[in-house]
Amino acid sequence: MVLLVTSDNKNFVVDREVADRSVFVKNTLEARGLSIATPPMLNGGCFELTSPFLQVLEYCQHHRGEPLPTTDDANADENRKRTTDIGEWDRKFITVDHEMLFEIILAANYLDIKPLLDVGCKTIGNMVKGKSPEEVRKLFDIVNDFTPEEEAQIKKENEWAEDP
Amino acid sequence: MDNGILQTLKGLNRDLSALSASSCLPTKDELCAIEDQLQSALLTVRSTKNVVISAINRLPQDVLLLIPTYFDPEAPKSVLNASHVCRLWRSVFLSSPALWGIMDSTEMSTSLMHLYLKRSGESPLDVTLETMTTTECIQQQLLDRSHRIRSLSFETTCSGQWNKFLQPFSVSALPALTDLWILADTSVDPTAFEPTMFSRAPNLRHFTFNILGPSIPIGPRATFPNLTTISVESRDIDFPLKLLDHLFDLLQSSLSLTDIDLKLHTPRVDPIVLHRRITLPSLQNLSLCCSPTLAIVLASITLPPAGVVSRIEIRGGAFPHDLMRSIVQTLSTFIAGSDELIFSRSRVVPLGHRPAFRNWREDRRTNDKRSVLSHDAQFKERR
Repeated sequence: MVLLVTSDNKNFVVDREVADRSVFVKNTLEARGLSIATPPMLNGGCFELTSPFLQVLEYCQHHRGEPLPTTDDANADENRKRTTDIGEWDRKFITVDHEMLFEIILAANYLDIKPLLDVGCKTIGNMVKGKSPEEVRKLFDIVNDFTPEEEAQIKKENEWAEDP
Repeated sequence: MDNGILQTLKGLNRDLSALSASSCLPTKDELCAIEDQLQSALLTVRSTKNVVISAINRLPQDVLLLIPTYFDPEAPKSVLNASHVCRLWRSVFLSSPALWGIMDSTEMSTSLMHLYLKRSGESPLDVTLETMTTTECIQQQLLDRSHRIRSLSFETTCSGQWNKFLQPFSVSALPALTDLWILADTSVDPTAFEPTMFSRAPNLRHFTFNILGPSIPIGPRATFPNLTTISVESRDIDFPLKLLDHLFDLLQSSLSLTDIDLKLHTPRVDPIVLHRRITLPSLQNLSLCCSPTLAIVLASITLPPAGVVSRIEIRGGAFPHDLMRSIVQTLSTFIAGSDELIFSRSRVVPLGHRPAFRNWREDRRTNDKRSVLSHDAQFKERR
């Protein structure tokens, strides 16, 4: 068993097999020979870690025992990214509000859990797919902040994109 | 809000107050200057608003940059669209050349491909070229960057385009090429191919070739030591033995081959005239369609020891009785330790062969139910 302590001092006791889904935790434990790894506060404390950490643990519990992606195979990495499909359990798991989705992505990136990072980024890729820039802005609460010069360049690029 | 924008707004407020207090009208230049400052302040407010309000824009840039790497590679314009969303996305995505290396002439205009090439810097290129939609200008620009081409998909429906488009790529140095697809809905005279075709692509790992006529666009001097998967389909019903011999040379030179998928129809020969042995030490998946070619291939290959091959699939509805018997006999020695042996129908088998297939099924049902299970279109045997 491993004790994980989050930046806001919440304790989580998990099986080593579950903790090892995170390459960061695995490496930290191996390097220190300890049973405690403390992920530091993310992004200057803008994100509350406990809530996504619970989600991340749920993900790791569900996928415990599955083979981990190898870190040295660039082709496998490329192939993983090229598939936009998401498994049924993962799809349900990642059906959360935008704030939580981004926090899960941040946590997966920090804790180095590539399959979870894949699921999060693919979900955003699927959300954006086939949408115009204006639709993407609406989706993510973004406003158009381009200068007139940038707008002119974008207009030109759009004309090229619409050419047969 | 940061101090910079507050200072700007205070300065603007002072200018506007001074204008209002003045008894004379402002000049055109003064008004333009104030308008510019207002415009600039407005854009700064919007950019700040994007960071404050939009959760996605609060992601660190290295994480934001990951998102377009997961976009569907079959929709190469997604990256362009994403770069039109806001200044932050544009600056982040334009600063990553690797995002701009996927190009498809069937989806993109010449101007757009040119833009992508420019933005891709020195990154690997994954290119799909269709002869009717690829201009000579883009072809030349890609040839000038052939050392960066990682995957090349070449499609044509016109036999006359082969020499013009494929030939220059096939004789170029392609050190980064790992994936090659050649899809030709046309027949090509095999003599049109240079003997050195693709001989300068030593790192090829995946090769798929699908053509109407009997051809293999790989020169006899080409060897691919890193090739792991090969898929060759000729829809011609008369694939010459000479070409099959050439294909065997290619297979033999690729000791790391794990997946072979051949859909070829050689003329029926009895006895088999292609006397040679090829050894495939790494083979894991073998897929062949039922034709006289199957008998030739099976008679020629030496498979790895038991337990390495995990899957053998025989496709095709045209199973002549005696051929099927010899296939099962031959494979029974090969598949020791394999996970599965699958017999399934093939779309490419001419309809005229179906009666023979039905006869074979009847024969199997009545005479030998031991090794093959019948399940409508598929026959599967698990060991």
